[in-house]
Amino acid sequence: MPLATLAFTIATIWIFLHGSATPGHFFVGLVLALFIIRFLKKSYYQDRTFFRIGSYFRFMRSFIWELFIANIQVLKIVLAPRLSIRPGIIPYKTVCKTPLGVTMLANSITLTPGTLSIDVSDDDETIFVHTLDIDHPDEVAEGIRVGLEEPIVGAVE
Amino acid sequence: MSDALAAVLLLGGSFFMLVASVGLIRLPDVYCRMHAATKATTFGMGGILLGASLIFQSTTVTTQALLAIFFLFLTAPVAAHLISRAAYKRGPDLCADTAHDEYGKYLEGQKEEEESPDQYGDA
Repeated sequence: MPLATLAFTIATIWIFLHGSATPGHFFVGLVLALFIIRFLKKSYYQDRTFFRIGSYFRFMRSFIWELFIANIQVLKIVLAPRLSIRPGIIPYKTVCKTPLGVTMLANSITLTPGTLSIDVSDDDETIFVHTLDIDHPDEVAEGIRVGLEEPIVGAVE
Repeated sequence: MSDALAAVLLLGGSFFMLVASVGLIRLPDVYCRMHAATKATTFGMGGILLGASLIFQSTTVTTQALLAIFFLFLTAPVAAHLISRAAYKRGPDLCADTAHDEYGKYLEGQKEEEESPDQYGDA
């Protein structure tokens, strides 16, 4: 997305957030957009004109499903009469190459069943995942790979 | 009808917030607690915001609610990530039940690299 388009998109989102579509507020949005872009350009700006919309929706669907499962699971763990968790930290090798992909993956890991991303290694290749079910590390990794990583790779990489 | 749906969403949302709070008390260490705090609160908040937008029935409120949900889903995991990362580096230990810790090994490895500077050729 060219920077100008990005700025206008952010300004439009600002209008929606604010709830009043006057030129003045659009201008405020543009000023905010300039600040946002100024600070985040280095880390996230990628010269891509469009997302692959289809794959993006596939990711959203998969993500919402995982989110649902995650909440049922938290519900079960928290309200069970006796806590039965086996926490631990496992490394997860990611195939995501771009900063956007790794960020999306780490973010999604936190919101999905039994997993929480704690840190990303310096070479951006390994995400350290805190899990509540350490006895089945392969299943946890497989869940991330199928449920999140593949859709993300399809959408943004 | 939409009132009933709104009620279900609001009650469900509040219920998940409650679950998150109970989780904060019951779970043993900061990392496990972050599980409850991020998942259940985003879900609960989503339900409450959707319920609110159903009650108000206005485009402005609905778009605002949807945007709020979107940004919540973007920011909550970042906060959880930073809190647990900072916690690991600064203070609270993993709870005694923790069976496996690869992250600790990784940090140990990093420390050793820092302690042998000749590796970088700046001796």
